[in-house]
Amino acid sequence: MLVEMIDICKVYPPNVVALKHVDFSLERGEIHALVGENGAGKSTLMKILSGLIRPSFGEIRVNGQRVQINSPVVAARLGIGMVHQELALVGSLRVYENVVLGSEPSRFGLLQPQKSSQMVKQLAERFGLNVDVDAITQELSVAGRQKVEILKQLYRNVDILILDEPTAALTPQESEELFDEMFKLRERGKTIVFVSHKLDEVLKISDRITVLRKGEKIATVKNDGSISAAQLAEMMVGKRIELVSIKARRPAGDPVLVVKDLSLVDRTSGKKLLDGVNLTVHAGEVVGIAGVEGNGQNELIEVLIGLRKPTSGSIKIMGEDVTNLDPRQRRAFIAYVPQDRKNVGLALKATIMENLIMTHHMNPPLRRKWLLDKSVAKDFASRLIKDFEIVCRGPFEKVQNLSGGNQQKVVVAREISLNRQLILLDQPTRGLDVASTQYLRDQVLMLRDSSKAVLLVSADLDELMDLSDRIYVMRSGRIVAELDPRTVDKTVVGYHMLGVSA
Amino acid sequence: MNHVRPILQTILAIVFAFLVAAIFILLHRSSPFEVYGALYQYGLGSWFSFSNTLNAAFPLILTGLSASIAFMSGVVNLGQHGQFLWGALVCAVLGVYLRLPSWLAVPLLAILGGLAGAAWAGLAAFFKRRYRMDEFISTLMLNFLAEYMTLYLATYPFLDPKAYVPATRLIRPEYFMTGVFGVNVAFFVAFFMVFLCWWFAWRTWQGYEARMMGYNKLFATVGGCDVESDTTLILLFSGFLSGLAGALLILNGTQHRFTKGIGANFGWDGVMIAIMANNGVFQTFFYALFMGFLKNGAVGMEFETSVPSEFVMFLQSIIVLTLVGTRSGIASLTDWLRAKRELGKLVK
Amino acid sequence: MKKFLFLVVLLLSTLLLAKPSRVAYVINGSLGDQSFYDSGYAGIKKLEEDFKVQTRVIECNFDPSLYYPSLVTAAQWADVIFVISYGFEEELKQVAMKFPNKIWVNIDTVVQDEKGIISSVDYREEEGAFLAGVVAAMVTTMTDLAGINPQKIIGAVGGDDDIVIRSFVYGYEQGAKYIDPEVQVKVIYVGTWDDPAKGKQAALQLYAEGADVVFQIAALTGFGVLQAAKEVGKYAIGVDSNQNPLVPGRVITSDLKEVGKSIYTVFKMILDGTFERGKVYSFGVKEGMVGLAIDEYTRKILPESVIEKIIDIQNKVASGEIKVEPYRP
Repeated sequence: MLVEMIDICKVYPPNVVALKHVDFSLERGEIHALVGENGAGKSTLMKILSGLIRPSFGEIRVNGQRVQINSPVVAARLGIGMVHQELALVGSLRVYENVVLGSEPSRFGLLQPQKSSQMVKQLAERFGLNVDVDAITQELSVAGRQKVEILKQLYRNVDILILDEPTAALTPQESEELFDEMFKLRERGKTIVFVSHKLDEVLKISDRITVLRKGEKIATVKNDGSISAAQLAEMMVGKRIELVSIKARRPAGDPVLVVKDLSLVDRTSGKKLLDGVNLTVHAGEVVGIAGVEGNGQNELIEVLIGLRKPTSGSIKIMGEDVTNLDPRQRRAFIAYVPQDRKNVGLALKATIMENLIMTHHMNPPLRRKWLLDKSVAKDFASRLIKDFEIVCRGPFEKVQNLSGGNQQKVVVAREISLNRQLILLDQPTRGLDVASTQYLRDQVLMLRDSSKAVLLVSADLDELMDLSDRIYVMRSGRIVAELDPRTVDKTVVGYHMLGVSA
Repeated sequence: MNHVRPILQTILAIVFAFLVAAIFILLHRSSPFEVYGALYQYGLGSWFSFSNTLNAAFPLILTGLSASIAFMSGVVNLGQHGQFLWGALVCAVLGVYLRLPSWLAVPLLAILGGLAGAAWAGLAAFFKRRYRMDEFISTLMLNFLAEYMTLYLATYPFLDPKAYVPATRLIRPEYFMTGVFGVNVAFFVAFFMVFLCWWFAWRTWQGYEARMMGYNKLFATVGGCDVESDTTLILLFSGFLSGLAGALLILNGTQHRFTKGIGANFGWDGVMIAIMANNGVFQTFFYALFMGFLKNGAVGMEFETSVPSEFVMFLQSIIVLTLVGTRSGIASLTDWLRAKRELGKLVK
Repeated sequence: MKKFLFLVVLLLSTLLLAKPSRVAYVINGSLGDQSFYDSGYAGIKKLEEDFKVQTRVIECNFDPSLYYPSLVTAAQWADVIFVISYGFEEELKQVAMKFPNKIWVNIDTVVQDEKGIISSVDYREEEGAFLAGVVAAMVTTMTDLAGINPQKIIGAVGGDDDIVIRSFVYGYEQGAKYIDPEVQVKVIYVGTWDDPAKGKQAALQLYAEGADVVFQIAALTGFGVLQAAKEVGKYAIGVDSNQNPLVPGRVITSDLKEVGKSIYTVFKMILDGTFERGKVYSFGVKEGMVGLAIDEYTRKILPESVIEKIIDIQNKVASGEIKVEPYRP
């Protein structure tokens, strides 16, 4: 065994038990998938292995030697490196500079850019990583930057590479390429931990699979064809759930949101963030926005909700021109589930009630002239907690004490109960576990069936394909395609996202 | 439980702070019992001392509230000092020239002083709306302007030529506010303002918007709160409280006139109190009393034990620092202990 | 009746407190100015040595929020309270009313309450400043002295623009005109009492405008004036304490205000029983409480003949032969 983690426990102060007696092992030259819902303890386990946090209990052995991994530096010395979901690269530097950053080859105290560049190029070739080492890092795609991170670890001679949900922001094609590269790394004797909750990918590439649930290890299984996605899902969740959504297409109603020639130009760089966007969402339909992250989806949402003023173009909601209204006024028409619930969707230090009454507070019965009716607020919050099955100790608990899924339920409960005609959903299931995801998808379909207009932005293509009646694909701030998910294949959407012809 | 824990933490923190300070007193070769005895005797020991402590606290309550209300809304008003000075000056000058029956004049003067403070804070609000100037820097700079402008007005146009220091004339004696059993009426006004602030923050819908803005400004904006108006309102209200503190100091303090340096450290003490109080309204009241007690008792401590005044200020800082440190220290300590217990359950 | 009772209480209390044992010295500023406040402190220390009394000093550091609590606390602790009350005359009156049986002595200004509780020590600072003006005017006309320019300009740096400082300036001008009516007096009020940097800046400005001698009337702020004199090679006159040795060869003399000596004198009167409540004690050159510090440092700068002339004028002021006009606001 290359690595053995034995009887690992972790308690986060004050009383969050993240890991309970978990055993985990790695063999040389394997791809080991670590799967589990959010909050199952995957990240905690990997953070312990890579020295970011210390276990409360248990021991770790590397090559049979008992070790204390007190910091990432110690981990690197033992040959363990992690590529995080948030990539930590200096955007203005060239790729090879980022790779060697912190341990540059030098001679007599002078840097040797030529040598660095060559070394990194050789490294990339040896491990079959297809990346231009002289490119400016920020000009690369997410997939490209991920490769830089991997190279960075390889440059430091790691034997064990931990990839934390590496495919979350990739197109199907990019994911395929990554998998090929992972195989090449395995051939050259590297060991890879693949953290994911995309079961089909896990089954496709891994040699062994470890399943965690609620801080406990459920099983480690060999991936030799004897296990199915359904079985894995059952191990993860603990009960059998249907991962299908019913898509009963109904005729769309009147247009609710009409966006015409919407453009947004960044004032400092002059870059066109949105470039003549036209789109329509009708009552009773779900319209998806697909695209590689950073292609204008965020800006589109910000302009729609009124956080940024468009440079040109118009936005009409139910026939009314809202282009020049501020967010306060627009909220009379729009319900909005933001992508970043911690920074936009919620005030974490406030109570559940205070979070639930936001936006509702502007109108009676909650608002009575100067006052906010506390008893109405409490009843209102209690009702939503019950209706949306938010697991908590009561309306006065702080939102930061809730799990991610329940936090998202607070946002969704508030927005859906606003009963607005237009609903903007920006990555609503990101970071949610399977059960919460399913719950949310059901909600979206219910909204559609009650004749609301839903605009759904998601990086998860499966989700878009499952839920949307129509899909717009965005690239470089433009709508490049309008597709019908019933007639086209996922890969076609991917081609449009990347701008290559099929 | 929700309310008991912070109170216990505060008590523990204060006890610990005094213990730490005791070490320094011992290092200074004095007896902590004597020093604390004197602190108690002159700060709380008799009704006379206690009422003096309350009287020393009333400006601190108001400047503390001014800072707390602003900070809890995420508005960084650091201009308490300048707003206080304007409140004091306007009240002092009008108190000389205004001729009205005193039952009308006294509340009017207090309110006008508050409005002067609000207007001065309103300048910062205007700069923010019009020129997107951060109130953090504008309120800070406005302090210097207020300092020099009020001093100029007191030294030249409104100078009392018979005063030994730059000062305006005494306000009309019938406008002097009185006290009840030695406790200034101003203290009760400040006490009332504590309730008003609580009511505003926790019962009105704009108070709700302001607090949400303090938790997370983007959340409030996206949620439809009128962040600009709320910020302006908070700045005005916060300025009013500081201005009121200045006006009440003229009406019911010991000077009854605007003199050089009258602002003392009330503004910055208010900021410190807000920080100690975690921007809580009732906590602010408590810590303002605590500061008043330290201020009032410290001089007595100096007398009884002949420790130098620098040491008294040093002790005050030690107490405040330890207090704030201990409060968060206790929180993480209890967290750590609970984590240990949880782990104990897990591995037996 | 009320008044009668009050008098009885007063009388009784004076009898009971025949031997005061605790003395407090409450000042608006801070010690360490090497002049005014320190001079008083020296007197307080001397009381401790000579009469075996307990003493305490409370420095308010120019913080008006400390004035009232300091007085109240002092009144609770001490039998005799010496107060330098710039800016808190009102507080002094209020607290004295609450503690009428203590002995209150206010120094350097006149504070009078209705009931005659507070006594004051008032200095005729015009007289001392007159002599300073005499010296300054003589020196600026002695063009053979190193560093003296032909212009007849002298200067003064004041703390605040207030009554006491104006009295100083008024006397200073009279003294200068007494020597030479053409001498021009330039004054800068810096507005602080504890910032030597600002004092220095003001003095440098005056020297640049042609002044040869600058009279500092600004407590610790004025220390900067003395430094400025050293820096540009001109002359200065100190105030309150003997500041001649602070910058040897540059401080010609100092206009003494013997705060310590007055405290000592008044306290002795209290012990003797000759002290009177509510009285204003006026101290000047005649009583030896105001005058110039002339020592070996002075003699290093000025020739003996000039010094003799100065001493002669000082004697004339003491005897009343030369009348110095008091300042009237």
